[in-house]
Amino acid sequence: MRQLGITTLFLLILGSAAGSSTADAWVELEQFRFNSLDDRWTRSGSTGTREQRLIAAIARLNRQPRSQTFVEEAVAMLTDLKLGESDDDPGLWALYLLARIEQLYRVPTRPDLAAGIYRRLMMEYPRHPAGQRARAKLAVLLLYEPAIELSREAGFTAAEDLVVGCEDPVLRAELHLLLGRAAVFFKRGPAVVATHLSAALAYGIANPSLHQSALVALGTTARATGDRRLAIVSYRRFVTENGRDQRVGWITEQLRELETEIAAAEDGP
Amino acid sequence: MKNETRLNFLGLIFLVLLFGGACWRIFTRAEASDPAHGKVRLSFAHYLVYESNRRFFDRIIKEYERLHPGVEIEQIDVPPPVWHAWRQTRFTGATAPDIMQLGRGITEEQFALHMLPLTEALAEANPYNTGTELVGIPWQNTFVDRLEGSDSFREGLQEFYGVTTYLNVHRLYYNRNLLRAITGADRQPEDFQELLKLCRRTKIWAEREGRAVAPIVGSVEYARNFFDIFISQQTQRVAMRIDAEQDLLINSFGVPFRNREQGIAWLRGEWRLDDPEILSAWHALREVAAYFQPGFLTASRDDAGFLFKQGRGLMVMTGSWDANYLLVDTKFEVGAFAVPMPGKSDARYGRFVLGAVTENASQPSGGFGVTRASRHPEIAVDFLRFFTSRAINQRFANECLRIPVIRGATVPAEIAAFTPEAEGYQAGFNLSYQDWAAKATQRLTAASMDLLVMPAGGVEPFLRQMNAGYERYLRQDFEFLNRDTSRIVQWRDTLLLALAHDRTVDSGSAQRAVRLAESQTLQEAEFYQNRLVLAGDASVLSPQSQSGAAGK
Repeated sequence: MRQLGITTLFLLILGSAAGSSTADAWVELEQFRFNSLDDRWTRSGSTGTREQRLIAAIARLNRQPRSQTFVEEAVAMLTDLKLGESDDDPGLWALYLLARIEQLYRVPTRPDLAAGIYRRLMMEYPRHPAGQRARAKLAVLLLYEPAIELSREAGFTAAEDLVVGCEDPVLRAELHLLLGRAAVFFKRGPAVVATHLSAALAYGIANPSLHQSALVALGTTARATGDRRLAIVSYRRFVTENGRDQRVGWITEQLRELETEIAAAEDGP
Repeated sequence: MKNETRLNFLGLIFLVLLFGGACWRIFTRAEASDPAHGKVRLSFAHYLVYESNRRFFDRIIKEYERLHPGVEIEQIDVPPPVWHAWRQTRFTGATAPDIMQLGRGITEEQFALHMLPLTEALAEANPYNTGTELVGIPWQNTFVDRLEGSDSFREGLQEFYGVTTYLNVHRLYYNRNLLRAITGADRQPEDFQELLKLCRRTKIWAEREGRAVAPIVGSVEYARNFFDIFISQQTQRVAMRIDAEQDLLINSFGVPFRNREQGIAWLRGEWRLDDPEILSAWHALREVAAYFQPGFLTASRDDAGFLFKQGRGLMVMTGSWDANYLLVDTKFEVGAFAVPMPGKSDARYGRFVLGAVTENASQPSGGFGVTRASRHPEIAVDFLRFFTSRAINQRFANECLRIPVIRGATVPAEIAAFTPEAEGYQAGFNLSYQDWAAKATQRLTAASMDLLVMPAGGVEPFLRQMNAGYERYLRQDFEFLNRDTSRIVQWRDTLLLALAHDRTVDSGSAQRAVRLAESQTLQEAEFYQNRLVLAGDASVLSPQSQSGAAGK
């Protein structure tokens, strides 16, 4: 009995030490201390927890100076992790990172493989953060990558479909913002732009500078579609929230013009 | 042989002495920074080397030490030309000072690796504002811009890393004695045509009097700023036409990566260097450049200041940061005014402008942060609170002639002309591509500028040279930009994963993760947009461009 108690205590101490070193390692990754982490930890062997093995793979992937060897080594580490208990948190993130490597790190890139993994993550684990990030990344590929979708028109429609199945409001905002910007870039017309930017703003854009830009762009496109009231609401919100911005002068003038136009329309011929 | 032994012995003694000296220095240095020795020592490094700044920092450091007797702060002033290398060495050698000035090309990676985020500290009130209406207000909100500028907030990391201490605006300084001698009055030009008229008059006066006086003296750096101001006004309307994000912002001074939208629009065939709006800008530049001193494109900032102080220029183009140098200890009276820009009614240069470019959003500068190497970060942060209290910021403004950045602090009367002009409109875009991407387009423009401004040159030969290389250099910049963007996006993957697993994250950090995810996705989209445009994909090119006008 006494022996069991001592063993439990020992395991608890060991567990808390491992937890603390894992927590510290994530902080080191936040500070981009890849090489020291890789030196100290990864090279000591791969006998840690699955979370620690994920950290080790990330450190190796980002080791400076970058090399394809490190990328390949990281792929091997992540593949090994993924093939274990693949639907635990480290396994899903390993899968997500493998997709990112195919999309961005490899030379040449393999966007088709990345898209395949994103689809799997999105369909099978829609509520896990990795599945949610995969939805946004797949939308980017559909919109812009000819190797995934040859027609930009079809790509746009497919990306719009990804919003339909999305339940998370934060992710919906991100997808609508992405679509709104894409609609501007591909010149799909102010009505499409306004629809997506309105939705993004309604769900809530977290990044202040993106939020401000979206307000201005919505005001401009709403005016172009003849929706003066929406233009006024967007512009006024922008001016109220951003007194210290170089666009305030122009937008204040637009507000005055829009209000005059509305008053004239209400007065009738 | 005997001599050789003696020499060897002497050499050995010399080496032992050297070693002993080095050990003593290391020992005493370590002891000095040891709290057990009695005082905590901090270092404060900057490149604001004007004497007035150095003296001011000495004074406030002494005041802080009086308030906190256990603390000693050492001021390290590093000349600007060697600052970059000095900082790099300190970072690499893990010997960075506790408090360090920001700016001058510090990268996102360096911020993440070497600087301490101040986000949490900024959410709390600054205790040194007691007795003012700023008491109890979060430190961040005591700054006029809520620290949203690049010297404090890093968009790529979504963290605050510094606090700012002053604001910069561009101004023309002028020799009031000379102006009276030339025109018989001390009256500043009110618009661009009046500025040109004054320049012509000065040139005629100098020839008649046999005086080597240029209407405007400038350096390569400040002349470029001057030209950027003009061009960004002339391009106000074209900017609205090509605005890829429809957010009315193509370019704002000091904000990197803003040249991307205009570059994309050029590659899509949406504007050209000889469009009427751009042509108007080139003609305005050529006209005004004729009044700068000969060889200004090779002059340094010091050369220009020296010429002005010698009375060899009626005006000098620089900014508020040089106020102490130019207004104090100069043998003649000096005044300053905002660069007079063409109004909408200007018959030659008013057609394409919205109006004056506002200074409403001028970016605060003089950022200071705390390094991760600091052994006493809490004291370093406290010193920054003291430094950016309203009382000290007001004194910094008064004693060093700076525009203050803390709410409620006022612009000193001596530099009332530097009060930022709130009226006006957003800027268009500049064409210098300063510090953008691989700097290829910047090099082409800089190398061609001679042709535009020299008497033997002209707008035509300048445009021939520019048009011959523009697409090639722009493409080089975009290829670099995409490599850089890809790298940033990759590092953000790591950051996002780390934040998702960090056990210490609070609701603020969770919000930071959401902001990072949003901007990563959009940055990734920009990466692909650039690729489509570089590939000449038919879906993104304008009809003119597809019919072969792109290479014009």
